[in-house]
Amino acid sequence: MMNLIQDFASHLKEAGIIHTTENVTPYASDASFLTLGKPGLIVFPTTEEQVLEVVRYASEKGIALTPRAKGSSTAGASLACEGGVIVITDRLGTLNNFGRRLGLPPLHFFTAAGAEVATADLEAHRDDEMYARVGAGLSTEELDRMLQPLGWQSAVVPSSGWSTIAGNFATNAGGNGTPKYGTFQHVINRLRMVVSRPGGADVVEVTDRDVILGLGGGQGLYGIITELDTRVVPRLSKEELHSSVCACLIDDVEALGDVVGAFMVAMEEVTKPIIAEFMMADKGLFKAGDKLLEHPVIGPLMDYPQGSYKFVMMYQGKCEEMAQLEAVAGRFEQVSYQEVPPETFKILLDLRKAATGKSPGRVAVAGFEDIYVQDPRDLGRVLKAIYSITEGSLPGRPIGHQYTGGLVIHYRPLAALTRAEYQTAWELTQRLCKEICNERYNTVKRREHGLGLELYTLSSPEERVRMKSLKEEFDPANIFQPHLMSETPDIRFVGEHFKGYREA
Amino acid sequence: MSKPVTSAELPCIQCNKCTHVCPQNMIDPTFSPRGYLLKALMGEGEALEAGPEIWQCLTCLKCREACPSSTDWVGLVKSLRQEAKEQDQCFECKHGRLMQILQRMMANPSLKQDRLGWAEGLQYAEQGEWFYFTGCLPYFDNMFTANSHTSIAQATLKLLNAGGVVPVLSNDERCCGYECLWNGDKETFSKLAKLNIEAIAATGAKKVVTSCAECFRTLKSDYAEEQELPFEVVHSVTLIAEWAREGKLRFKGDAETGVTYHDPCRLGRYEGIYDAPREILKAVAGERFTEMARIKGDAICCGVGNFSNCDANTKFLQHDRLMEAKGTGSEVMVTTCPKCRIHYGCYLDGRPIEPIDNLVVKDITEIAAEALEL
Repeated sequence: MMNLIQDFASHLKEAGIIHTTENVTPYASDASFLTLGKPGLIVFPTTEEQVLEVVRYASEKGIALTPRAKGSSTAGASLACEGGVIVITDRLGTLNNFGRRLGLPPLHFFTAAGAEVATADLEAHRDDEMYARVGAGLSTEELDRMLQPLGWQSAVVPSSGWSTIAGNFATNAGGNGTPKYGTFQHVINRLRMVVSRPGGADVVEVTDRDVILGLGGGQGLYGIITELDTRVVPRLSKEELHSSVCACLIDDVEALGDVVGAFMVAMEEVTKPIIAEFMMADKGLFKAGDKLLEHPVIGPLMDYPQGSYKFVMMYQGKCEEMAQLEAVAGRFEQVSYQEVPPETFKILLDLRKAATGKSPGRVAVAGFEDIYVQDPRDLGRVLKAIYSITEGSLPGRPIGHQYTGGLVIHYRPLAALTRAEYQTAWELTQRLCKEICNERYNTVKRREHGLGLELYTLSSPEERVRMKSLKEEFDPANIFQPHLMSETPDIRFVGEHFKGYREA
Repeated sequence: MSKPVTSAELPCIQCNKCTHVCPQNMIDPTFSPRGYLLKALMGEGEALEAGPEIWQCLTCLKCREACPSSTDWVGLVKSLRQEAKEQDQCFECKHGRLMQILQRMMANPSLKQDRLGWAEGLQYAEQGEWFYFTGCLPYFDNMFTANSHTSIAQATLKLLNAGGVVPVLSNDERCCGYECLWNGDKETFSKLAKLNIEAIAATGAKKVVTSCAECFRTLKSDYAEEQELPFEVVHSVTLIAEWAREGKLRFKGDAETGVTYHDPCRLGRYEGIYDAPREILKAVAGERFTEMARIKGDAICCGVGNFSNCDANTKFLQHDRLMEAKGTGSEVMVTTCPKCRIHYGCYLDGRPIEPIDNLVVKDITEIAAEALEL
């Protein structure tokens, strides 16, 4: 294996492709805190031609490749096996004339049918389905920075705007915009990908939406994406936007979930939010004396009597598509409704985001699995189970996204900054998923950034057939992430390798 | 490393946001704060200390701005540099170690300086409430010849005078010690801090004004870590903006040249001063003040940290920023840090990548004093 890697490195050197075989420890894990061991070689291609060369060589020699963008996956999607090869893709389509990742590359716009539209004419297409053609390494934050002066934005904006668009597609990320436009597999109209061929490589362009849907969430299993057409939408003005917050306060958590679940089903019938987020109100989110608690909207929203539970739902959408929300809330005695200014809504969203991870002196546990509640009407018993399992353990709270026809719950226990507590929290999330993600609760296990190392084991038999078929079509040499097709993934918490960690 | 890195000190969640925004990573994909934090957490701290990586960091703090768990990567770099220095490992300051030599010379308590020649004809005092800390500006004229640097000191003094302040200037002032501190030479820094605090206190000053973002940060925050300060520290922009608001300084807002503003790391991300310089530039240039795309916390570093890591990467960063400034249609990129001006001036003078014509870099005090015809 070492000889193979050394030969590969020599080949890359000759081809002028940036790589390292020495500084590999930084790539032994990603934001999942999982590991498969230290990789042997990290490659940083900057062009599609270089990717093609990397894949051609790997295919010829039978060397496995792990594509990795920013490595912000919390599911271990971008980990290579011990001694393996990681291909970093964040330079693709993002370099300036001097070959540096500085400045922003020019943007090109296309209709759904693939016709190019000049930037100056973009405004005439406000009502059309429009796409921006971007390099695989561009992040949503960078794309939105380019779109903002034009009055447009990405259709789906994951909370981590730093992740790349190709990475978002490979993990099938969701985010703001998902209730209306879907996840990333739904907002990509075309992609270019370097794929393997027996003993070689090729570049393919995929425009078939059904195939794109299948490739979404593939975790790099089918090839290395180099370019995508990603959906962009006009940025709504303050006047066009409706922002509101609904809350439900009940002292029995199951009853609370029942009411909220029924409300969610009812509101989905008559509204079309762009953003639909929720969180349990929790004073543990605030530092003592936090000025935010004096905010006229947020203060009362986060106030609840001891022994009761408060579920806070945040909705934003086009005024005409949200007009019925107040009436729906009015049908539920325990659900309050208030319209809020966009500025307040942004603070609420930031608070919701903070609830996923930050608390003074503590961090949220990465690598956590999500609970996908397939029918909101099951929310009551799911919440009851979550609270019963986590009672007396580390502090945390259910938060998540309401997508059409279901909701994703993250339960993020907060660990103190010690190795021992971090692992305890990680194990708690494992237990939660094991006990709750099953047919009894009508829930399935999901992960925020794709299924990662459990892609194959968590897929249905139908999905596995599709995966195998796509793999055969795009990666006949079976060099991309072959370990992800394992039924018994070797998942290890990286903490086991953290010699530097100390007990507090 | 002498002290093991603990997870409590580095609450890194490996999300990679630090690396995504890191200017060094934009140039060199193998430089990754996240990666080095993982190495540190995995007990490979010694590799960190021995390698060149800790000197590669610009300490621009963009990483902390992006970090969701407030991991202090820059603090780790700072402490590792100090440990490296204790073991005689030190990254050499460019320009033949000029800055390091200058600072060590200044740390000599018996040093006699004659550093006030630039202030001839202007009003200053030997004792008083206000102290103008000029930093190394009088020395820079002989070291970095692309621009005049005492012109910044002169402009600042004129503005202070126009605002009714006759500050103390002192021959006993030394370099603030910024470069030593960030190069790991804590010993020299502490000596300089002590000498400066004593020199300022001896004049009876209760307020110290600086026209340098790095001096400001160093005096205000790093000196305060050494000992309790008997004076308050302000950057000149805070005063000028306040006086413009009060009508003490009346700008006409009719500048003929377009200006844009570059936020220095120390004034912006380190000390959170973003609005005052903009208020001044709006007052001076009115509609001709245009913002670049990356501003305030998102502003990019000038590419040089403490005169140590100026290399080819630096030039690409500078080229990128200067082109961004030029892209606003401005003829002048204004800054509030004389060292940013030195580094950008160096690019414009040497044109290592390609010439960027019709753009100059000026200090905000120069622009403000010119606008008031002082």
